[in-house]
Amino acid sequence: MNDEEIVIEVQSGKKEKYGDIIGRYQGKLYGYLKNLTNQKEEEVEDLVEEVLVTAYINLQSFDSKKKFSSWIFRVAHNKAIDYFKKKKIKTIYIEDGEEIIGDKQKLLEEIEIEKEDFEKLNEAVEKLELKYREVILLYYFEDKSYEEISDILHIPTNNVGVMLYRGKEKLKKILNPPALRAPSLDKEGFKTISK
Amino acid sequence: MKKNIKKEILTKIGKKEIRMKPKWVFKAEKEGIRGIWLLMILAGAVAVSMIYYFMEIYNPGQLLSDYGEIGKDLLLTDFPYLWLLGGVVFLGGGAILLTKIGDNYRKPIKKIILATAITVAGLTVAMILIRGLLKL
Repeated sequence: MNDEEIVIEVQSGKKEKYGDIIGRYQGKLYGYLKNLTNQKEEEVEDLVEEVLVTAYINLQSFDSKKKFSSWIFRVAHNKAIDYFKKKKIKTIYIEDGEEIIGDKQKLLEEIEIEKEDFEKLNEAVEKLELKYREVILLYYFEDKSYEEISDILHIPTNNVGVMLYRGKEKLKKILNPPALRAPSLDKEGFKTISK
Repeated sequence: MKKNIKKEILTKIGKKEIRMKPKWVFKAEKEGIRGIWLLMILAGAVAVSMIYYFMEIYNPGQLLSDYGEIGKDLLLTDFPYLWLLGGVVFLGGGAILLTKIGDNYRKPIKKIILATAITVAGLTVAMILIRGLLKL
């Protein structure tokens, strides 16, 4: 039974079936929200619970012709935005020894940094602006397609590619900051920086 | 995970502490947005046709050739700036609302603005034609 079929059953009154949805999504949502917010376990668990409760309350608005995973990730995205606003979080710090879940190998190759340098990558991802971080997390960590990301973030499909490209460029800059130009001496013996 | 989220939520559902909102609430919300969009588009078309009506009465080309600077001043003084502002606001508002209808968020904003402008232009032409027919 796929997600959409289960949701149709819940919508038509078999409320206990929502347990199957919780079972399928609590881990995925935890991973996504943990990576996105980088908060402590308890905080993320509370957020996951809020997402699943909000999803249940609004379940009748889900159109079963569409993908349920995109819909529930949209709910998670909205909750995360509310959370950031509520907590007034602007910069997110990485906890020591914490590892971002997911397959990052592809991303490591694409931004041309050494393989298995996950710690560096984690720190760089955390420094990205939220809009780029979310696209990178959804594409590389949650394996979502452009269309699914478009459905989750409510942005045009073309923009997903643009934001992924910009996000990767920003990651490259964070990981390899441009080197300072070496100062040289001019005729009078003053140090100048060549342009 | 420390919490048993599944058990907690299912208990709340069982005790009816959390309930699903009925389907009609979402339908009403959806139709409400469509209705407001339609009103905005109509208002935009009214604004554009008012500007057209002004142009028809004042005939700027003839006014400028006949009266020169005085004609220009008259045109600038009497121009329906509020209708122009209204037209821009309703067109912009209509475009923003259109992105909230269905899957339109997937479409580039340029396409959305173009679709709104075409709809407003179509409605304006229809209004002008109807007014012409009524005059006859």
